[in-house]
Amino acid sequence: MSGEQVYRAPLHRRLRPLYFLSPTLLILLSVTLFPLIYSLYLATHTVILTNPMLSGWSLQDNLREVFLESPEYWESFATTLILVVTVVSIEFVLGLMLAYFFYNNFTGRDFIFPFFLMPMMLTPVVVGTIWRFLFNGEFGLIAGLLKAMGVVNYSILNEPSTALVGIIIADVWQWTPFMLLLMLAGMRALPTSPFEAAQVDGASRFQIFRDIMLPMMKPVIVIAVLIRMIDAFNRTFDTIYIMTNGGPGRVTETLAVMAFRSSFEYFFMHQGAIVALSMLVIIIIMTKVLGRFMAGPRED
Amino acid sequence: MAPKSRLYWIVCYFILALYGVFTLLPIAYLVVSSFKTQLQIYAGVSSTFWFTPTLESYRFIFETKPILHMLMNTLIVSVGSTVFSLVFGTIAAYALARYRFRGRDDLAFYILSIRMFPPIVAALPIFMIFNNLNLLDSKIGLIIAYTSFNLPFVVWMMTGFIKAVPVQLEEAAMVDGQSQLGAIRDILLPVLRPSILAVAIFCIIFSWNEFLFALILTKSQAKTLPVAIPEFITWTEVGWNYVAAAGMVLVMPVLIFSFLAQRYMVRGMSMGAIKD
Repeated sequence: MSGEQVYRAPLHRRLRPLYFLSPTLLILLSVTLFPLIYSLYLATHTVILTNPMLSGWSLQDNLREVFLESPEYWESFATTLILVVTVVSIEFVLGLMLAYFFYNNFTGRDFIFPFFLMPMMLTPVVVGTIWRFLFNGEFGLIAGLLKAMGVVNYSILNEPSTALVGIIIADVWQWTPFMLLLMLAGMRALPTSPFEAAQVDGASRFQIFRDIMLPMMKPVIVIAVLIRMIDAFNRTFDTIYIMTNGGPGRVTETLAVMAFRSSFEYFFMHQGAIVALSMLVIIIIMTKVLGRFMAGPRED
Repeated sequence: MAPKSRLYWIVCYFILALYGVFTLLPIAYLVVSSFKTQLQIYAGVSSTFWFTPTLESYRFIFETKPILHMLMNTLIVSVGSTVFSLVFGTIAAYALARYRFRGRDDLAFYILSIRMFPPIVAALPIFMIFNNLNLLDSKIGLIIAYTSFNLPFVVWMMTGFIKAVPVQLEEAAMVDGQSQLGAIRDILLPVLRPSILAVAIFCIIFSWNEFLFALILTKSQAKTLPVAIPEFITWTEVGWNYVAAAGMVLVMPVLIFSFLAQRYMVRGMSMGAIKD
């Protein structure tokens, strides 16, 4: 690596990077370490804000309550899994395809490109409201189109069988541009000589794309998919909160929504803490496994 | 590459056009709905884009809710947290990029991994702490919270950017008698300016759009505009024109801003995130 000092400096010089890092570390520790400890306290006790008489150590009871006594946790787990896998795959395929088209030179490309990025700049809450009203069965645009095709007053978000599809469409709409942006940046960073060589050797365009371009883009793809997976898992909260608030019934209640509702709607703080902590465990496992699986053996 | 067949171009344009409509239609729907009356909302598909525009909804939302106050809160909190996270984050990134010390890579990984921390895990405890410190419903509280989310991103991006600048430039200045701080100020920072700008844009947009923490940590004084949006949705769902108008007020500044700053954002993404 270039640009690093290797000589042995006096102590006060050697401590200098720590001074530089201390404000950042102080802030980050206070928003992660303390919440973590506090969540662990909540998870191991009975804490119900509406009933302060109940208290004390109850880890086993809490765990049984959340994981065994009702199927709610596992329903939310499945919902989250379906949501994350579906949106990330669709966004990846769409983003890659669009990036491949934008990789070409054509008139007006640089003019239309910013418009394709617009959804990712919008406030997720506003995106949620737009899609909620587009899907509205009485006056929404999509319902109107369905009506024209003979389906009367169908509210996608009010039907248990299609509510999650509505959420998925809104998420794909907002975050495909992010994939497009990263994929395009990755493609443009590639050298073109391998493609030209393959073409001379008679490879078809699809072969070049599949056998040369995709493998060369692997680092970008890994980063983009990982970022999107983590965000879809952690942060799809806003749109769901606005569009369905977990309903109808619980069909769109992901783990994040479940944690929020347990804590801030039912005031069962210990349940909310356990669900939230389980998310942290899942995310750690997910990144470890995926990181290893997708990056292959490391070459440092 | 060699010229492409006509079929290729037809498919390419067709898919781009199709996706373009899919992308723009919801935004167009938001724009037109904000200029409608309650009655026009119900008028059916054929008149979705054909109606007499009115500013009635905008007048209504500004009269019934402190929209300007909330907009100012959103702006102050976004800019405040962006400034703090840029200052602290760039200093930390400098340490990670320019020094070699024990535990450096672990520290860098710890800072980056905060990005994966589910916000909901931090939400409840932060609510409790802020309650005790009297920081609930205050702009300072929100600025602290947003700074902590922006910091990992700033540190990660800026470390990459600083590493890309040859250290010899600063060393030469220091040999010429500049102090370390002087070298940073006169040599490093000017080179980094476009990168810092790119990172700042992302921080501002993220803070501007944040919802969960604003929802939990504010009530009235420090309430930001995203939290007010759901309040326009009544259970009968009739207020769509008001929701749309409020949404426009919230979204337009960011859209205009990001169009102006597009150049820097694309450069920022392709330099820091990808190359490292």
